[in-house]
Amino acid sequence: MPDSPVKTDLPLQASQPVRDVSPEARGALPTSREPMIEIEKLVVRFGRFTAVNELSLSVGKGELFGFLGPNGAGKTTTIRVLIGGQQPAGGRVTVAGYRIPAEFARAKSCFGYVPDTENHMDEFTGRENLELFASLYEVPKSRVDDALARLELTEAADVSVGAYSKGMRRKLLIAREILHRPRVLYLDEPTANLDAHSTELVRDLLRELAADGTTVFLTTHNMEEVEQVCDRVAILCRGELIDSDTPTNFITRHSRRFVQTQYERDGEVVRELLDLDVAAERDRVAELIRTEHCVRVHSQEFDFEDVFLKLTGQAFG
Amino acid sequence: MRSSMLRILVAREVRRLQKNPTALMLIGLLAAVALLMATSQPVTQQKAAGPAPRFWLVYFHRAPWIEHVVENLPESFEVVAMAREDVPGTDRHGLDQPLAYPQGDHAVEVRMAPDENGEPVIHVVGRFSGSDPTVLDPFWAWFWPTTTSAFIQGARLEQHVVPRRQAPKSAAQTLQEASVADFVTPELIGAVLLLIVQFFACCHLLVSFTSQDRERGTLMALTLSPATSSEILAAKFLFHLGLSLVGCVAIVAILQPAALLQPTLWTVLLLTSFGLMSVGTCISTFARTQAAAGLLALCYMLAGAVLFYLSTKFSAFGVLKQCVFENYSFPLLYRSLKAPLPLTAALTHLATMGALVAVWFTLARSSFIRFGWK
Repeated sequence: MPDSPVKTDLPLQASQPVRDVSPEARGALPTSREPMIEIEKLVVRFGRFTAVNELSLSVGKGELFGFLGPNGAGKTTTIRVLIGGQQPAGGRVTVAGYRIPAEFARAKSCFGYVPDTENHMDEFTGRENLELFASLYEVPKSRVDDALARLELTEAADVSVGAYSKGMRRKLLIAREILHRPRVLYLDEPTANLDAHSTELVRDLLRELAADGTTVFLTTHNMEEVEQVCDRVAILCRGELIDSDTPTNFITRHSRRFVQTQYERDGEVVRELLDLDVAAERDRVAELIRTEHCVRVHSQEFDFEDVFLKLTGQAFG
Repeated sequence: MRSSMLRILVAREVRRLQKNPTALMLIGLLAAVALLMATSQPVTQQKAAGPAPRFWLVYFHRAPWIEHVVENLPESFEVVAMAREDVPGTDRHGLDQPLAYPQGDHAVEVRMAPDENGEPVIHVVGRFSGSDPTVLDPFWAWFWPTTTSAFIQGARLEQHVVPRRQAPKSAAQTLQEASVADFVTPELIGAVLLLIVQFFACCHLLVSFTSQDRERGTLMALTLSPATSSEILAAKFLFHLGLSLVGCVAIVAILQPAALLQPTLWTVLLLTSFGLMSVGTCISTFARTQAAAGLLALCYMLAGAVLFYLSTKFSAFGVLKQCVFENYSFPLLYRSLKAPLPLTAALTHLATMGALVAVWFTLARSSFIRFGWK
């Protein structure tokens, strides 16, 4: 990552307008994937406050889908609807072909849910926690050992969960929710509290799951994770879908090219930020390099975080 | 409802209890109380301090030796000596009227009567208050030595010791003189212990475990598993019912084993347990935190106690008391422990109790399924 002391000075106005598409089309599946999650005009209200306002999006089978937004955007509320924990005020939600919440009882064995806070039975060991759910899901006990090994928890398997670190508890949670090989896996901040190695371990696991056909629906605040892991991303703000696309397309469509220059004149340090998409400023860059003693000339490209800030800042504006 | 699911969920509850053994301490403590009660002797209650008992010495005939005794009354305790004809009221009632002595006093009557051969025999009849004849021992310790030297030689003395007739007590006097210990019987204590065990196992512990599950999210995890909310609730009920019955059976087996064969006792135990579990489920569903739930459970218990007290003072609370299933539990448990109680004799109470428990259960089930894990 380039050093960017003036990152916050980057102008956030779009050089190109946000793709002008209907709200429904923003969240539509761009490929011919079989839809696994379909949300149509979802509305969720808490009293007079509308937490989710006519959200529509589709997620295909085997897709690794990122669901982003600032705090209070409606991400967790949307997931709660998907897992049957929140009654919508309007709209239609279908998961693996089952309508939610009407067919929730039949749908729930198809998905797994990794919440942002761990919900283990602390007095049991890691193995006992997994064995309980293995019994409930009627899966072979051998999967417990496989899941523990996959998340590198074998050594701590017979220790009480109360003694686990936050990272271990999070990994145990993921291990629990993949026991029954769900068709859809919801994850809320899956790599929170994980060290670098464990983070990579989990990301690899999610890629494997997606490659095996599991639809992974995750929320995260880690933009690097979004860029590295997600096939597609939807950005939510104030309960409304802003846009949905692949991370690369987001950057391509919303990125702007800037060059930061720094030079000395009359004993003073002068800095200029120039937009390469503007002809005059492009010429200015060439002129500065030719005429001034530049001590720093480096380009700044938008990364996904910049795109996110731009889009959500725009929405707040 | 799948038995396999119930088995897994009940096993989870059992394992959790094994890892929280302190939860069982109270039940163990109550069983120990019952065991101590059953194996120890009742303590003779000390009455409130009052005047030391008096001895009455009533003689039915006059004789030099009696005069000697009367002139040498003891100083360490009070003896009131008088001739039969001098007893107050003799003028009205006659010499044949049996004597009734004041409450708590003892009496010795000296009578002369001939035997079958016509020989005079002096009968010394000791009349003691209470159930312990040894209370007369101080009197005898003074009386016999004092009379020995004054006996007419050759006279025969016979000592008889009988419980004395007591003057009838009014109900008010009985109540005033009674202590709590007079009413505290093993059956009463047993009924109280049974109610405590059931409240603890079915209400307090269920509230504690369920709200703990909700607070840390394990209830949500279970609800999102293939187990249905009904199965989760059924497993909790089975577990807590089992725990309650184990504690109750232990106490009844210690205090009144014969009562275990009574269908009425089992019916009351089952209904009370179900009712308390339903109350506990409602509390844990609507209370957002474990601390709040525990407090609500305690408030429920205290509210019940206040209601029962106020029902003795105000009629409106008496009506309210009829709507509380615990109102029927205690007397039915007490009567079942005291003596065999046929089901038919308690049918009305059991039916009312069943209806009230059904209302609580319906509320508990619907609220748990709708809101329990959310």
